[in-house]
Formats: sequence, structure tokens, C-alpha cells
Amino acid sequence: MEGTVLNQIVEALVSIDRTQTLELTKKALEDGVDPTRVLNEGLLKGLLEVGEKWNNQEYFISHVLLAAQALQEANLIIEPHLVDSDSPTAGTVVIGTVEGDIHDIGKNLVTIMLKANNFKVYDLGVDVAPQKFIDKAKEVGADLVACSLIMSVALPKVEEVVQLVQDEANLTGTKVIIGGAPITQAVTDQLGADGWAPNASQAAKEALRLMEGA
Amino acid sequence: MSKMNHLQRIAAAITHQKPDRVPVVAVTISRSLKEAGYSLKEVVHDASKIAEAKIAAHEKYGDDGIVASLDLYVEPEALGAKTELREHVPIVTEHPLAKDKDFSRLVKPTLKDGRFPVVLEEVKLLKEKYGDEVCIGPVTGGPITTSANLRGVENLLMDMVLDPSYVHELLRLCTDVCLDYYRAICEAGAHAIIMLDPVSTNTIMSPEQYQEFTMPYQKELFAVCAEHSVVGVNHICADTSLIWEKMINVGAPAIQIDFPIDLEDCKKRVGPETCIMGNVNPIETMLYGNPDDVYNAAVKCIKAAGNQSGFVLTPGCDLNPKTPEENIKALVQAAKDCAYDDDGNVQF
Repeated sequence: MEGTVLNQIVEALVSIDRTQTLELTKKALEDGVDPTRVLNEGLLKGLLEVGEKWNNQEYFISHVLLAAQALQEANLIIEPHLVDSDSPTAGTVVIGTVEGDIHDIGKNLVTIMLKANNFKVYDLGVDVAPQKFIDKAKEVGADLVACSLIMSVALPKVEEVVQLVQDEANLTGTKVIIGGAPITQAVTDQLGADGWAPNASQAAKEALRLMEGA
Repeated sequence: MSKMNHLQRIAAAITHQKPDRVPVVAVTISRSLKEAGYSLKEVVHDASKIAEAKIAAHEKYGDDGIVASLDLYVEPEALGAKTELREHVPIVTEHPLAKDKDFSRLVKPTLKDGRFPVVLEEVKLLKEKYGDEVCIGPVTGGPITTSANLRGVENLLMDMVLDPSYVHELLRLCTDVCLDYYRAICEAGAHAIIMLDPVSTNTIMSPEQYQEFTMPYQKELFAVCAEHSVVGVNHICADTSLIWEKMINVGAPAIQIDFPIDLEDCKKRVGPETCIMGNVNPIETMLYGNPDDVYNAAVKCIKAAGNQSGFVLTPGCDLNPKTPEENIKALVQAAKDCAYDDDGNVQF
């Protein structure tokens, strides 16, 4: 019974049906389904499937954005029902588009996919100065610092973030993951970052991989 | 074969005649400012300084084409997007339609507004200097990219699903602005126009969306180029392998391919009608590699797509200003070392 409505939520989200997603979320809560399960086994599972379809080029960014928006609205319905629990997360990430670059779509998609994979994400926005990444990472005890960029002129700022993380005694064990149009394995090695990914769903997998090594 | 001048060499590649050697454009837009010792701030509204920088870079590297203009924000800026100058490039800091999608409050600019006159003047100055010796072509933004700069790319992508007719209306406005601009560029004496349309890339838009929202408007603009016998170049960044067959069907005789792409596969699929420009990796190879890496990568590109003409060697995108001088020279040298034999195949 609970399984059915959860599956229906997954289906609604995967078919990018906003109305249906919201109605089923309400119905599940009325039926007494655990709100954490609605979120994890319904909405987030659905978003992960959308991410998979995107990875396979069945879906494109329009779909991912609309699914994420539907999830966000559904989450507003769930939130009041959630007991404030310290449920374990996959890790804590501080993310931003580096200084000198204002492209945020890649960064936003990575944030969506990280959250879908149970990461706690602090999004610093765009045009973020290297020191800001460090300050926030120290404040929240970040496991990962994630830098996004599209414009190659912003590459030196990524190098700065890597250097600052390495120099900061309070960030031992914090890893740097990078992504964006100019990034390849060779560029990642050149910059000294710990990991990279060619797209947002791979970025979440790379983040999980880096957490295993942590 | 008798020596051709720079423009003749590129024209031969575009028209699938045999050039005396492989043509090359180093795409040193932001790099050129460094060659002339200018900061972006000093030149952004000064056509003669921009032209001076482009001339300095061309004289130093001896490549076959000069890319005019500095960036793809000229159109959105004139339509009301707020930009800020950074060290090497301007960036858009405010999309005027992000919160309120109604564009009736935007004022349709004339060619006297914003930086349109700067680009047109730069083209004229370069033409005065080189006439028909060197291929001169400015970069412009494509209509969907300009629309994204006004509305915000995420909003626009959702609009494509939820309100496609709105997207078409916005594209109409952007295309109308571009149509006037393209005519003026052609009349200023450009040999080519390079339309930068990064939003159309496969990692952002689906092939169906490219067909619906990009192609019709690209067609209108490339038709203006064709009317003026100016070469249209369809440049879309990053992965475009899902849409090559569409990219060659918008009236542009050349497509420029970014770096993550196998040019041999591209040449096969694109066929003999379209000229391919590309695609040495501008970061991994041009910025971080050494001259040997650059030379070898360039040779690989030439071997993959150079046979039977229809090829211009370029980096995948604009070079980072910190790209080592020796690397840019190695790129140009690779093209200079490469002639065509009697069968039209490249020989080193």
C-alpha cells in the first residue's frame, strides 16, 4: 500500500508531472506514510531516475530543472511533517561558481544531484572569491569543496581554492572536486584537485567516491 | 602551387578548393589585449585600441584570420542586461527578464546604442588595414544565447517546455536586433561572421529544442550573410555531436567544433559540403601543454579532418590570455608545415 503511492510519486516525477507529484505527496502524507520515506523513496528516488535518464541523453536539462522544481514544491508540503532528525548524510559540501564566472546552471544541477544523493549542500552562489569557500568550509566542517566554472579565465581561482584548502590546518581531509566546460582529467591534475566530473550526475557519483576514500 | 594570401587560403577551405596549405586561425581574442599591453577596461569602448591589439596579435603569429569584437554580450547589453568588466572578459551580472518575463519594457536598441558602434568601427579599421589580405570576422551571440542572457538560461529552458510561444516571441525580438546588426557588419566589410551559440550545446539543449528554438533564427541570420557573400560560421561550444546534421542545415558554410570531439567522425558525418573549423583543446593542450603537445595535437586534427580541403585549424574556443606564446606559434607552424598533394590529401 505504502509502496504503491511511493512508486506513483516516483512515476509522476519521472514523467515530469508537477500536479500529480504534488497531489500524490499530499495523499501519501494523509495516508500516514512516513514523511522521510515520501522524500527518500518517492521524490528523491524519482529525481535520481530523472538524473539517470539525463545521463543517457533520454532527458535534457529542461526535464531535470522541471523535476527539481516539482520536488522543491513537494518538499514544502513535507517539511512541516518532518521530525527534526539527525539522520546521517552522505557528506557535507560547500559549492560555488568561482570568482570571475557567473554561469550557474552547472553548479545548480550538481547541487540538485548532490542533494538527491543525500549530501548536505551549502551553495555560495556565483562569482565566489576563493577565501569565501574556505571560510564556509571551516564553518560547516565540509568534507568536499566543489568549484564550478565555464570560462577558462577563471581557472587560476580554482588553483587558489585548491592551494588554500591544502594550506588550511582546519581542512585536513577536505577534498576539492571541480567541474565545468574546460575541465578534463589532465586539467584536474594540473590544478591539483582531488576529483572532477564531466556532468552533474557523474559529479554526484564522484563525490560519493571521494567520500569512500575519506 | 602558388602562394595564396591569408583570405584566399581560408576562402579555398570554405569553398572546398585546394589551398596552398592548411589555413589556421589562432582565435586570440582576449589574448590579443595582452599582446598590445592593454587591459580590458582601457579598450572596451575604443575600437581603434581593440583593432590595434588584434593587429598586434596577427602580426606576431601570422595566422590567416582575425576575430573581431571581444565577447558575446554586445547584444544582451544593448537590450538591457547589466554587465561588469572583469580582468579579461565582461560578465553578465543581471538578467533583466529573470524575475519578470515580460519583455515589452525592454527598449529595442538601434545600432548607435551600446557597443554596436565599437564592433562596427573595429571591423572597418581592420578592413582598412588589411583589405582582402586577411580574413576578418567578428563574433556575435546567437539569438537563443542572447535570449538566455536576458531571461537566465534555467528560466528559458523551463519556458521551452511550459511556454514555448513566449520563447519564440523573445527570440523574434533578439533576432530582429541581430538582423540589423548582421547587415551592418556585412556592410562594414567583414568577410565572415562567427555566431557563438553556446546555449545550443547538447549539454544544455536537446536536439529537438535546437531544431525548434535555434535553427529557424540562425537560418534568418545566416541568410543575411549569404546575401552579402559573407561566410557564416556556426560555432557551438562543448559537445555538439547530436546535432551536426542540423548545424550544417542553417545556411552556414562552416561549423566550428569545440574540443571534446573526434574530428574524423565529424568530417564523415558532416560530409563534403561544410567546412569544419577546430579543434585543439584550448585548455589542456594550448594553455597547459608544451609546444610539442600543441604541434602533435594540431597534426592530429589536420590528419583527421584536413584531407580534401574544407578544413581550418583553430583551437576549440578562444584562447586563455595566459596561453604561452610558443604554444600559439606551434599551432600556426603545424598548419604552415602542412601542404596538399595532387590528390588533395594533407602532407607534412
